[in-house]
Amino acid sequence: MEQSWNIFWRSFYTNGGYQDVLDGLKTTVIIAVVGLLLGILIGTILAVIKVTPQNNIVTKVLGKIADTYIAIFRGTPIMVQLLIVYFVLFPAMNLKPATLNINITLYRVIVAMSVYGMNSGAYVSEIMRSGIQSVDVGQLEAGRTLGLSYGFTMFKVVIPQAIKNILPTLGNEFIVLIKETSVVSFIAVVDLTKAFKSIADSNYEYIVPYLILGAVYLILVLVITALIRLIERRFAKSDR
Amino acid sequence: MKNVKKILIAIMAVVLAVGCVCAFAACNKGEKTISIGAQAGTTGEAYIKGDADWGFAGIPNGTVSSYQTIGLAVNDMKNGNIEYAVVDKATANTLVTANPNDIKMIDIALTVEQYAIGVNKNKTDLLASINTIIDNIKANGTLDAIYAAYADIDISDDEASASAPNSDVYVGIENGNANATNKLVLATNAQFAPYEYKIGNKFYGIDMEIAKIIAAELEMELVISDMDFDAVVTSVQQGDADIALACLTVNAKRAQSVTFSHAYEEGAAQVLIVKKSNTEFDACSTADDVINVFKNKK
Repeated sequence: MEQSWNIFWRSFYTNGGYQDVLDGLKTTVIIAVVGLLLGILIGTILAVIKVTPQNNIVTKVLGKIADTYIAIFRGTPIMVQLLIVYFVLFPAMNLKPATLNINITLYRVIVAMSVYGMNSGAYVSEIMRSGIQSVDVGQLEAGRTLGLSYGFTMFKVVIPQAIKNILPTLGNEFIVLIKETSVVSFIAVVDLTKAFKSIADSNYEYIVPYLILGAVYLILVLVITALIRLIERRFAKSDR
Repeated sequence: MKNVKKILIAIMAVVLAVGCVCAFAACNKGEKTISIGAQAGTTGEAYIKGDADWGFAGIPNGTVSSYQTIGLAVNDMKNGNIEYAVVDKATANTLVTANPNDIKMIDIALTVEQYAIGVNKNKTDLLASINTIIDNIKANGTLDAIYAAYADIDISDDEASASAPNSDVYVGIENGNANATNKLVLATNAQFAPYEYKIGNKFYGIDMEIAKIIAAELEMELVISDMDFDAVVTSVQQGDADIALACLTVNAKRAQSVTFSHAYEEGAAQVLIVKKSNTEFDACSTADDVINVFKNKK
């Protein structure tokens, strides 16, 4: 064990592996955070579409699109989505680093962010839908009776209350995202997992790097859990 | 409720700002370096990064993009995302044969090593018999015949197997019964033509033919365990597999985990593959010239 530790320390500290680890940690967090924000945005739109009564052709078509979107993104593994978007979809749409005028490292992170965002959107939409449905229908009716438009009542009255209700579940989604980013190395992004994996692979010494990798994820998730608690407590102040 | 919204917006704004700053930091850092593709865990990856234990200085201004397979790196090159990749020469040759209009190989050996079979450290008897078999097939020309059969193979050609020059070679190897009592478990990464690759459920390649001969000589059932390249050495080290045949370059670091047999390939070179249109290396004749091209960039 002591020898394993020494080998790890040599790669991690003496040979500067910690720099990759810090960059990887940053990448992991950025992808998860931006993915979640994008997910909340997409998810909210999808949820509103799904709870809106489908009584005319526009809402019916939108409803079908939302259903298809959710079916596709929930029905395929995130790793497959990453591979398809990076190796097939984006090149076919001519979205390349050269045409977007950004460098390849940033390009890959952006691909990862969009995939995690779109994937998360499908899950958040269901979370959000349950949140909206948990708000008493009287709230919507009251708003409409007061002469507010459907959209205004939805976004200003119902959804703020819904978000408060689903905050614990959204926190859970963030934690899931953080952990799911561990497969981004399939599109050559150096994330936390890949950084530790390189250290392990360069020495064929896996015990210490993998244990520490697990510990770093655990600490990350514990910190996020604490943050979510804090926000929840702040939200609860308006409760009687 | 107003405060709650303010807090929520503030949190989102801070997070987005941090995200943007970090993304730009990554962006600026990335601009100084050239992205070079390689397969995770290979000699090529270590060559690009530089590794004191391997004796590689690293490619100047280069940063490695590690792919799960070399095929994905070539795909990314075809999509225009990377310009260069480092890979074993025979594999580079096969990749170019399969994608003649997109990529080309810079035929300059960046580094030359040996390939050998990695054997579990506890299996000294197995190592001895494998060494004898390798010496034999080298001496009696069997190995040369295998190499000849796989020379300039085009894996994208459906009819390739029909034109097999030798009836014993290139018939495809079916995986053995994993429950057999007397079995030889082989760890490999069957995405590295012409050394090891799969067509349908059959294994092909130089390494696979060698494994077939070893299993036949030892009268054992050959069980092929196909895995990611970076797991090959470890699985032999841990005893999940008996031998590793996956274009394993002999080096001191791997030798701490597995015992290497006699080499079956002495001139295993790493070369650069680039886009077909690339002309940067036309004037190069040595590895130093290639390195200088990278050094003089930016």
